[in-house]
Amino acid sequence: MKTFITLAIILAANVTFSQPQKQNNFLQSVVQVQVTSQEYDTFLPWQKKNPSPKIGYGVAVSSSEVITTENLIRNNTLIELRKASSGEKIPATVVMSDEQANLAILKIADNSNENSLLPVQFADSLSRTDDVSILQFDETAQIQRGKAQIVQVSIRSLPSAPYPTLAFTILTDVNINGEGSPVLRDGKLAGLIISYDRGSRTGNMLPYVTLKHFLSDVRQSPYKGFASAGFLWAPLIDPAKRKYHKVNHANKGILVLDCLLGSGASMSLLPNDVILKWDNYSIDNLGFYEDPDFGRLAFPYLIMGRRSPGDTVPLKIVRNGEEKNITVKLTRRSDIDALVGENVTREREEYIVEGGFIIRELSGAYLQAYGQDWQKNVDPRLVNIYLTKKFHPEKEGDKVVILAGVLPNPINIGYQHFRDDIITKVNGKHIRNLADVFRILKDDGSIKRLSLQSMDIDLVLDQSMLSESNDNLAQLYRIPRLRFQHRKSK
Amino acid sequence: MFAVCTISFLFTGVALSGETDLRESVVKIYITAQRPDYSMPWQSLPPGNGSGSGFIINKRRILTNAHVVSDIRFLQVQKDGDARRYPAKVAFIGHDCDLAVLTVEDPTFFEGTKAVRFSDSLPALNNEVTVLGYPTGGARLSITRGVVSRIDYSIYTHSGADQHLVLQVDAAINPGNSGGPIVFKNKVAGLAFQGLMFAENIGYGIPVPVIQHFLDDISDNKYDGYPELGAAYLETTNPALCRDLGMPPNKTGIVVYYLDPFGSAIGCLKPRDVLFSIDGYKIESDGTVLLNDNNVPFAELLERKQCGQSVVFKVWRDNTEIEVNVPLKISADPFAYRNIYDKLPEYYIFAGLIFSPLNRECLRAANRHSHDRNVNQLNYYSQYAKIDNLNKDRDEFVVLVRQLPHPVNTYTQSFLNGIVTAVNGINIRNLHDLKTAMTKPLNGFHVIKFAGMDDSLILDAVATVKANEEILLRYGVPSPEYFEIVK
Repeated sequence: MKTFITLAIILAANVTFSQPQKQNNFLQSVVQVQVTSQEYDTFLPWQKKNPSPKIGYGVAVSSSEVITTENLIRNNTLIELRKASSGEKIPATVVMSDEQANLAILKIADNSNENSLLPVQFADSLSRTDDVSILQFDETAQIQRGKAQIVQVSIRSLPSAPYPTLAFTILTDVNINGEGSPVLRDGKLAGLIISYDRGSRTGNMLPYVTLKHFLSDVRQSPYKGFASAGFLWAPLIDPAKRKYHKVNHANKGILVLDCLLGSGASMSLLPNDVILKWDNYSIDNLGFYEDPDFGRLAFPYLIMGRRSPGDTVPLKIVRNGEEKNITVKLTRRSDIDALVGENVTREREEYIVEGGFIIRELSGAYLQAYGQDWQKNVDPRLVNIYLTKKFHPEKEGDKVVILAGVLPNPINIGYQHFRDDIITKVNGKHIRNLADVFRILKDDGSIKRLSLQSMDIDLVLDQSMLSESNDNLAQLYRIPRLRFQHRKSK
Repeated sequence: MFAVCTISFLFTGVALSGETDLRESVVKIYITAQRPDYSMPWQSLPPGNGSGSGFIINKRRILTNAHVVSDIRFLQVQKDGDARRYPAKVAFIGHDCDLAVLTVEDPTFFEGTKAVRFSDSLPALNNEVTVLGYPTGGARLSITRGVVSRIDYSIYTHSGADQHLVLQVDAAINPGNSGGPIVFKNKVAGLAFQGLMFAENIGYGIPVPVIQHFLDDISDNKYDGYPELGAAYLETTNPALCRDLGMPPNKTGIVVYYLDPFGSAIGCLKPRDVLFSIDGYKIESDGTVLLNDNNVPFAELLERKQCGQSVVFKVWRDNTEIEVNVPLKISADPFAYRNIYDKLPEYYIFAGLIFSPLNRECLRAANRHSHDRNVNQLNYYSQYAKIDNLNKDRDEFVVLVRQLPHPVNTYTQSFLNGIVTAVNGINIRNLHDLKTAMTKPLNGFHVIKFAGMDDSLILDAVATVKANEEILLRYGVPSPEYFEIVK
């Protein structure tokens, strides 16, 4: 059952030598992906930020489809593909993108013959010490080839989202000039670059297995994506702690800290459980196991890499000193269950502007909009909720609704200094999320008063002025819509 | 961001005859001070030498800044034209108003000196003032001159938390000026105490009303400090809010929305109370009162009060105007994080883990690692302790501030800067509780729980017994604990 990958030495000749890609010089397979992207403005959620260009690469997976990174095409307003040695830009659209995998499939809008691409073959093995090559374009759109060596295989967080992924770290002799650059081994696609550090000349790539997993999922509607179990854990190295949790197996097992509401783990795992085996693989006290293909890896790969949402996996655990066999159902992780969602894709967020009050839900994207030092710059109460209670809604559907700020107007004199305060009630009614506020708005017609956390008086709006003020605010601050709600309300 | 630094002023000899007189009142203060080392709370940082200024007031006393004589190990004073340095003592110190009174045992020191007279009123803007003192740049008395450029209510950097009146002058204030007099028409109008970094010609003085408050306070031979009202309020500039509060249309005031459990007003004022007036002064809707033709924050009236006195508010409560008397008391608030002086840090070491009550030094040290989630939690707890009721079940927040590495505590790094909530099933109200709880292991383990953390710190009880002694010896710690003696 163990596949040993022999160390392959890439000779200069072996691209032409390799059989399936005999004629493929990648001129028709690698494209430059030129994206114009534009996010919504977090602090003025009714408007967008300045559009900005991004350049990366994609690789043909069919005559009209290209695989690239999700981060590259995130918030795109225009995607154009450019072939090697060509100045022509071919418009493309997104077929599917998944921020949990950082992958996307693009389709050429006009699939005429001259635009047709030559799909690449995926590699079928890759080892920790393989030599590989990297393709990218130079300034004149000629294909440039660089050498690289795989130096590490690990589970790490995606650069663009807080999800674990299998990453191959490479050391290269070229400066990688865009994400999505293909990495080849024996003329086959071994992976796509997702990050690169000029200083150390190292980059990380998503390997062929993840690309194949994604592609086969895209081909099988409905898209299932990558699995998650939904629990927090810690290594269990400390001998005192092992003794305390009555774990006798040497160097084995990790400690479950908490299960996320609504996750598969919450149905069967408990805090303080010690997981000895996951899906029949022994887990060591740091959370690693021996993968048949890639060697020693952190166990999240067993979830996101070797399984899919909907699968049920067997576990061997120690609970209260007793060994037990249980199962955990894997699901696709979703922001909806969290008290504070991440909104990693920077989707447009819901808001209400009423009497100059900007009301919205707290999100990871909102906090991070305060810049690199957001942990210092944002009110520590909100940061604390995010850092310690993000996954802990008291009840399903709970969110943190905030008065993000106040747009000065005569109606809100005396309230204009409020910023990033938590709203507990609207019109005297308890609220748990922004949908509640929308409902109250629908029932009551307007916002009459806001109650803020730890404040015993309400911010009251003069109803006789409100309608006029709203019109005035919309005009003055150029707000095309004073309220925005996604059509699919939770 | 401006950094305000402590300093004080002096004149060179130009001058009115009055200033010549004042030369007999100004003294130079030589100090050796030593701060505790909060990262190793059982010992202190290297002692440092410095100097400041001061001046002689009645009853053979010297007035200077608290920051000049804080954490003092050795103290001498010297007068103009006398080479001798006289040992002195700190008789009273007010860290909240940055003032201190020194005494000199040797009566000969006061021969040929003269106590200053204080000005009866604040100088007006643009009045010319002179500043005397021993600033950096020379050894002898220095005099500088400028005008009063602003009188304001501002933060006193020594405590880092208190606000009082300040006198802003455009004369240069430099290190060493601290404690020197600011003179207006031959009388002392203030005491130079801080400057503003990265700004020019901005120096600050403590004006006479604040000095007088301090001297009045110590007249009973003890310093109580400024009372705190402890009421947070909102302006009532919004007409809809006024109507909602049922305020009569011709009335103005501010509305209380939060009462500090350690303040004077709790139990007297209530949330939703509208304060119409304070001691007969009408409060405007923005919280100011009209005082000597100036609109000043109503808190300035509280500035004049001593602990034990009262303040009377006209209050709108339940649609009725009532009078509420608030007796002002000393605020002993363990959740107000001021700069600490003249105190040794409390700590307790167990298994090489150093626990300490949360304080400003601990916050400062922790914030050097600003991206740590435990540090963020400390910041949250320090700012919202009372407002969000985080101090429920706590007399103080006990923090794991440091680890002295030893095999017994190898796996405890992730708990650093965590706030202890329970040890061995016992709720931790204070550092004493922690010490007691550590004597009661559960089934051979010590289990330490922290706020906001799912994981617990586990120690093998048997192993800690031996480790405790070893660690103290290895790291040269003379005592595993220091607790302040409760008076």
